[in-house]
Amino acid sequence: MAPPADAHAGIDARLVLEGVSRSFGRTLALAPVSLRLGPGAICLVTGPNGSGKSTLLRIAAGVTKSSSGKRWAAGSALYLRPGDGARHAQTPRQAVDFVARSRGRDGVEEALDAVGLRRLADTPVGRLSSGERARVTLAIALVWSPSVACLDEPTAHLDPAGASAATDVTARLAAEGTAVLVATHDEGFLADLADARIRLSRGRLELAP
Amino acid sequence: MSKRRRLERNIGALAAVTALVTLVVGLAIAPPDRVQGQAMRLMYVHVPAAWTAYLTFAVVLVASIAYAIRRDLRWDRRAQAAAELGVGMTALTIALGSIWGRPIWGVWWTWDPRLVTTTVLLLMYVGYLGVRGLSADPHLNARRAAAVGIIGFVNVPLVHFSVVWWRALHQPPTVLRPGGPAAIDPVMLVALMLGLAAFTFGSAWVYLRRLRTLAARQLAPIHLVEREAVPEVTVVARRAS
Amino acid sequence: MSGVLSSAGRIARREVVLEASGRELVTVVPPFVLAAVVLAGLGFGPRPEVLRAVAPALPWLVVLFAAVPMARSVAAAERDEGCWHLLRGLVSPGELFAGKAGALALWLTLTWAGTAVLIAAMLDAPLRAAAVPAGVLGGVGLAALVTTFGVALAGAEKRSGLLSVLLCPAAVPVLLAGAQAGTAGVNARPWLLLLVAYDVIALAVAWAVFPVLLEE
Repeated sequence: MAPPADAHAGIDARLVLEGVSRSFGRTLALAPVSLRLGPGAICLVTGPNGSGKSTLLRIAAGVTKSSSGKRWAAGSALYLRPGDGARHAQTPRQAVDFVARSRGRDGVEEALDAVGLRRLADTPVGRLSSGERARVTLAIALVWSPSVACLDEPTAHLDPAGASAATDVTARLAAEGTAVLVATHDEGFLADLADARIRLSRGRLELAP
Repeated sequence: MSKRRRLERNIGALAAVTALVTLVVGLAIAPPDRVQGQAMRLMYVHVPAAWTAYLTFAVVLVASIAYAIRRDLRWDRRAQAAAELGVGMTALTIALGSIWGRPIWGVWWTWDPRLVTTTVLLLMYVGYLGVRGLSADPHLNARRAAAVGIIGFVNVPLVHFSVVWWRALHQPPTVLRPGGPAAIDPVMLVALMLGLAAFTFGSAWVYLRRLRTLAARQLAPIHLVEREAVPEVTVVARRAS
Repeated sequence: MSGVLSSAGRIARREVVLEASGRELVTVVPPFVLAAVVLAGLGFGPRPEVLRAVAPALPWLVVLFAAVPMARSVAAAERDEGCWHLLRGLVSPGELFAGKAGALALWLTLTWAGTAVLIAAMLDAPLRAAAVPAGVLGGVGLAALVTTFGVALAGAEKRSGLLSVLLCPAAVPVLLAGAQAGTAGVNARPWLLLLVAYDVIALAVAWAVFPVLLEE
C-alpha cells in the first residue's frame, strides 16, 4: 500500500526518521531514507538477507546511531529479536517482571497468558526452546508498551500458534498507540493488519505495492 | 607551502637547534655530578623524556574529552598520535633510567615504586593503543579509546607523587615536588631546561608529522551520492483508535 | 535522585538473582581463589615470615585477576543472551552504571574477604583491622573500572586479553593502597584516604564516560 501523499501535515508522529543512513567503514548498509510513523501504525519491512532491515530497525529504535540524518521518537523505543530480553538464568516471569517494574507497569501474568507461557513461567529461559524464548520476547514487548516497537523477525522459530500470538501482541501494541515497525520474511504475517509495507534491497528503499 | 607545513618545518628547525645546544651544554659545559659523576648527564635526556611522556598523556586526556564531547575524528587522531608518542617516550624513560641505574644503584632494575608505576603507565597506554583496531568502525574505536584515555590519565599524578608517598630509592623529583626545587647547579639546570625544550620541540615535530599521516590514512567517508531524492514514507494507522 | 537509586537497586538485585540462579561466578571465582592462595603459599613459602610479608598484597592480586572474568557479567554476557539493548533502552546510562557497578562492588568485596580469610588461615597471616575498610573501598573503585572496561570491550572477541592489560595497570593505586593499609606497622589512614580519593575520581570519571561507551 502506498503511503498517502501530503500526509505530513497534522500527523501526530511517534517516529520520525529524516534522511537516515548507515555506513560501516566503506560499506553502505542503509541508503538515506525518511520514515514517519503515526500512533498505532504498523509498517512491515521486507527484503532479502543483508538488505538493511535490521539496520533500519535498530536506527529507528535508537540502538544504533545513523551515519547521517535525524531521528526522533515520541517516547521509549524498543528493538527486539526473538529470544531477546531474558537471560538464560532468569525465568520468563522474572524477565517480564523486571521490565514491568522498570516501566512502572503491571500486567505480568496477563502478558505471560497472552503468549501462552503461563505453564512455563517459572522454568529458566535457558531450558526453553527457541520458540518459547521468542514468546518471552513478545511478552516483554507487551508489558513494556513502548512508543515505538521495532520487532525483528518476530515469527522466526514460532509455530502457527506462536505466530498467532505474535499477531495478537502486535495488534494490542498498535491498539495502545505504539508505532510498530516489523522486519519479516513471512509474507502472511500481519497481512491484514499492516498499514504499509516497504521493501529494502541492498540498503535501498523500494515502496512495495 | 601551507601554514601547517611551515609550522612543522619551523618546529623541526627549533628542535634541531635546541637538541644541538643541549648536546654541547650537557656533554661539554655542564660539570659532572659530585656523587653520580658522568652518569648524571643521562638526566638531561631521561627527565625530558619523562616530561614529554606526561605531556603527551595530558594531550591524550584533552583530546579524548574533546572527542567524547564533539565526536570529531580529528580529536581522536590527535589522541592517537599523542599516545603513540607517549608510549615511545615512556619506554625511553624506563630504558634510560635503567642505564643510569646500573652504575649508580648497581642494578639494571629495582622494584622501586616509581619505576614500577612508570612501567604500569606504559602498559596502560599500550592497552590504549590496543583497543584501536578492535572494530572496523572508526567511531566505535574512538569511543573506546577515549574512555580508556580518560581513565588512564588518573594514573599520571600517581606516578609523579609516588616518590614522595613511598619514600622510594629513586631520586626525588628535582624541579616539581612539594616544598619547591632542590638545589641544583645553575649550569646543570640550564642543560636540563634545554633538554626539556629540545624534547618538547622534537616531540611536537614528530606529533605533527604523525597527525598528517593519520589524516591521510583516514578513509574518506562514503560519498552518499546522489542526485536521487531521499525516499519518504509516512504511515498512519487505518484502524479507528 | 531516589528514582536513580531505585532503578540502580533494581538492576543490582537482578544481578544477584542472576548469579543465584546461574551460578556463573560462584563456580569460577572460589576455585580460582583457592588455587591462587595454594600456589602463593607454595611459591613464596615455606618460611612463615616470607608468607606473612606477602600476605597483605596477596588478596589484591587475586581480586585483580578474578575481576577479569567478572567483567563479562557487565555487558558481554548480556549481549550474548540478547539483553544488552533491552537494558540500554530500559534505564538511563547512570542507572545502568550504578546498578552494574553496585553488584560488581559486592562480588569484588566478597572475593577480597574470602581471599583474606583464606590467607589468614593458610598462611598464618592474621587480618589487620584497617584492611577491612580498605577491602570495601578498593572493591568500590575496582567496580567502577571493571564496569567501564567491561562495556568498552564487550563484543571485542579478538584481543580478549586486553581487559587484563587495561584493568591491572589502572587498578595499581588500589593494589598499593590496599596492601599498605593491610600491612602491620604502617599508618593506614593516608592509604584509606587515598582509596577514598581514588574511588571518588574513578566513579566520577566512569560515570562521565559511560554514556559515550553505550552508543553504537
